[in-house]
Amino acid sequence: MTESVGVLVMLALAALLIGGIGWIHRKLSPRPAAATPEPSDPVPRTVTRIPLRFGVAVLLMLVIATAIVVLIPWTIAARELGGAGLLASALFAAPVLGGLLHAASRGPVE
Amino acid sequence: MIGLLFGAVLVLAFVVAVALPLLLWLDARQRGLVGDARVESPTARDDTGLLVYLRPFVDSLRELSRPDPIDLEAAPIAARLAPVISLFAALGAFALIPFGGRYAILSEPITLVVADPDWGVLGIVVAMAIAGLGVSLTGIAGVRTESLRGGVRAATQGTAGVLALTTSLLPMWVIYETMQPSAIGVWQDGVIPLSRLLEQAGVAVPEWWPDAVGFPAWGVFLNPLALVLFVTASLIVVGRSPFDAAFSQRDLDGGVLCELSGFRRLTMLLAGHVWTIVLAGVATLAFLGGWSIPWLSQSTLVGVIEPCFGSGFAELLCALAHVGSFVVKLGLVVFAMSSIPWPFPPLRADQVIDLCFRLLIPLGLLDAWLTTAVAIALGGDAT
Repeated sequence: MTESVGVLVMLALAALLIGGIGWIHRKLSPRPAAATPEPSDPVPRTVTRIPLRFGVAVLLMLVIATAIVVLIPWTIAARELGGAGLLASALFAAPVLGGLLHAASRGPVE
Repeated sequence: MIGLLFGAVLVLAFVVAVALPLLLWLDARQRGLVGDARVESPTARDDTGLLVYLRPFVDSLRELSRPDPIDLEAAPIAARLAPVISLFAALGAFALIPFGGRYAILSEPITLVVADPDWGVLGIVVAMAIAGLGVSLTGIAGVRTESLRGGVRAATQGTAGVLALTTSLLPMWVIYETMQPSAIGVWQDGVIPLSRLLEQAGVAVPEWWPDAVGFPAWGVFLNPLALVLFVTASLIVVGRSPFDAAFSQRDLDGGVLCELSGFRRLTMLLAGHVWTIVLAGVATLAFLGGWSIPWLSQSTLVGVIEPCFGSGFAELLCALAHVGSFVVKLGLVVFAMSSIPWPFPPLRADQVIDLCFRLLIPLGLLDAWLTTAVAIALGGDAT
């Protein structure tokens, strides 16, 4: 636990730094009410259709991410677990890897 | 606690005052805006001396003086905070980058890392995923279609990159058997004797052959493929050339950056640069021996200095040498990341994701299995 306190300290300092940048922005830039509109006003967002293939790509990422998350603890104990652990990890990840290569060969993200 | 705070302030000061200006100058030089190879451009400048160093700060102040096109008070919280998330996560990740090892200075044990938990490197990967969330939220919170498209492409590319980057680290975790930043550095602070390799290859080694003859026990010598995969994935994650299509494709008009101005634009731009430095730090730690000096381990260095100056001073000098070693290696990796990819043609966002799916992730997994198999075959010793 004590080893992790440093992360909280760094995050607090990061918040201070970002807050300081925001404070400088408030002091230097015109107030929102006085802000002049940009020469080209923002174009309102039109209806955007996201291809179904993109959804497939995202699902693939989720599956791969899950597989990798499961493999991370195995890497730390891989040498202790020996050949049986290696075989188990290969049996677990091989179908995922095969599926990934198959899906990628059909171009899900083009 | 005061020492911890002092260390954190020092690390932040290093990032803001040294690493960021250096990286911004390198970027400007690569784009031909400064230096001898200056191009004919309205933004080209001929700064010299101190102005070169001060330019990033002046540019940042100029950006901060610009008004934000949206009314931040009335905007949803996602629009206000999203660009900040990436920078916040990147600066937090610096707590897990060790600038040196463990020393006993003035009888006090000191570790030159702000936080040293046993999940350290994994924490950096998680912070990267959180930063990707910031990019996608920025795109979703935007008004223009280009912002949404750019945000989606950048977030997808970033997620694929994080997955590829994590798989590239798997074999290194197999070798080091830890994710603790300082332990990874300590592991590499030594030499792999050539005699041991020759013996394993079945070659008879004479008894007088010194053990010091060998190569540093750095990750890059044990698994060079993992370094190539890691650097490629890092460039994808931070969206640097040739993987910067999510920001530079013509139809996106700057992607998520297209409707950001002032504070939000600056934080988003800074986040990309800070992440480059964080990932260079991880590459230095995992592959280039961290703070270690080749062929001069900490015990040898302290042993050489101690008879002349005493134990405490020897440890202090050793710590300074290690910090110098880490910073030099970090600078070289940052230089490589900002310079080497330029000759390659840029890839579209879908080509980048394809590259991750077809090549980087499968290669990373195969590398992890092969490394494990070799380690098991050598009797549990990956070296």
